[in-house]
Amino acid sequence: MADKVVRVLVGKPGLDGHDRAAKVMARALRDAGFEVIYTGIRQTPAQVAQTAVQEDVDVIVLNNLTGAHLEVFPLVVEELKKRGRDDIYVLATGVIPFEDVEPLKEKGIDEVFGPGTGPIHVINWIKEHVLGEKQGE
Amino acid sequence: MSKKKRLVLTEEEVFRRLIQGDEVGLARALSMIYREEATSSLLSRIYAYNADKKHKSKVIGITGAGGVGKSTLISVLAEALLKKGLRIGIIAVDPSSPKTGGALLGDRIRLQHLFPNPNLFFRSFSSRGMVGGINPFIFDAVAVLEAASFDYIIIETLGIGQDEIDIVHMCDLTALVIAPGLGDDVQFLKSGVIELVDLIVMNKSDLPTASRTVGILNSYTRMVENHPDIIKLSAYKKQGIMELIEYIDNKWQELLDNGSLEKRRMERWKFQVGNWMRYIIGKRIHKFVEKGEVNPKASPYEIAISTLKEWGCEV
Repeated sequence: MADKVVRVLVGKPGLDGHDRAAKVMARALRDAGFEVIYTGIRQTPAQVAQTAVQEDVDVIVLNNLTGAHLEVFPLVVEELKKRGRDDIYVLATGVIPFEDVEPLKEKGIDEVFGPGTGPIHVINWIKEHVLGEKQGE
Repeated sequence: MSKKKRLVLTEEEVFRRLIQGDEVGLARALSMIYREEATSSLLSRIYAYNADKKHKSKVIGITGAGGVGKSTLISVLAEALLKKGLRIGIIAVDPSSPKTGGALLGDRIRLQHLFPNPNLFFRSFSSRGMVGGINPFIFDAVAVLEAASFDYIIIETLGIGQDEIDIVHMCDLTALVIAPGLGDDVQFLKSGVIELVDLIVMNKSDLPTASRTVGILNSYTRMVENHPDIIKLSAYKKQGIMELIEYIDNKWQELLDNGSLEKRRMERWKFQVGNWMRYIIGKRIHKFVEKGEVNPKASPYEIAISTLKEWGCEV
């Protein structure tokens, strides 16, 4: 059997054309040895969810820099539920204020990576949760 | 942090959902094959199911150098086919890193605007370092899509050079996409994939430099007896797409009627047996070489022969 290949979808739901961060993230995840699928910008939650289902990813890394994360990220979780795949991990990244973290988690986001965090934190989280590798600080 | 309960499907569930065209089952079947978790019994069921099935998918290969517009062409092709009410399954291959094994699979960006759509399925694969532009997993992936009864199955290779011909062996019909300004006429004199494809699609034919490339192409086809057909189009401007679909449908029907399709599919099956043998033995060779001792005084050829004999191979 081949080594476990982790597949990650980097998704940009919402009307946001700022894709530098998403591309840096995609590249960093690639360099960590993951297979990364990138949706491109301005996706609807349904587009992100159907992509995740078809690509059978382990994790979705969402990014939105317009402040719409509270509305749009939970909709992705809803769309995954509709398709019977809400077992896929959903991570939120971007300029997310601290007070939005709990509301996002209550709506099914598994972890939030806001200002002060970087790709390495996302990579370590994925290694721990998908590959079951404990990450020492 | 609570750990999620991940979706686990039995082989039976995967097979049942796959043949119903269910996306979750289809996606999981492809993952199992790719992760080498697909027991041979799942693949055996799929091949047996396909052989008995009346409905045949049209398996179309799209290949060509990086940047000629393969993804854009597939996007407009898929859009036009969806409008006809057909179901389309697409597999696209992008390179994986020789250093980390990681990959950035970006081919679906060109057609994300067509989603969500229940009639369109797209799966990105990494090349996993296989030469020839295609790995044995992709062959079996085509069988999986056939089991899901798509009308069209489109395979997009990664950007190729001149020698990656495996795609021709796995498709009913293969198109080589070219664009203006890619080298002089000597490029068309060289051997390789250009000799084997059914069709050359001259993309970006709206560019001013296109006429020169067309001239070169014509001088090439004048010299060759069984040359591939040529279709000029512009994927970006959506010009010539209906003509391409008409060509594919007519050609496919012609191959079906004169028995060539059946022959090609038999060849494909044989080729895949060889693929798997090469892959499996290749892994064993890799392991042997990795831990083998170095003896600069011995001839590498002798070591290779004596080792293969030890393994019981006739050499």
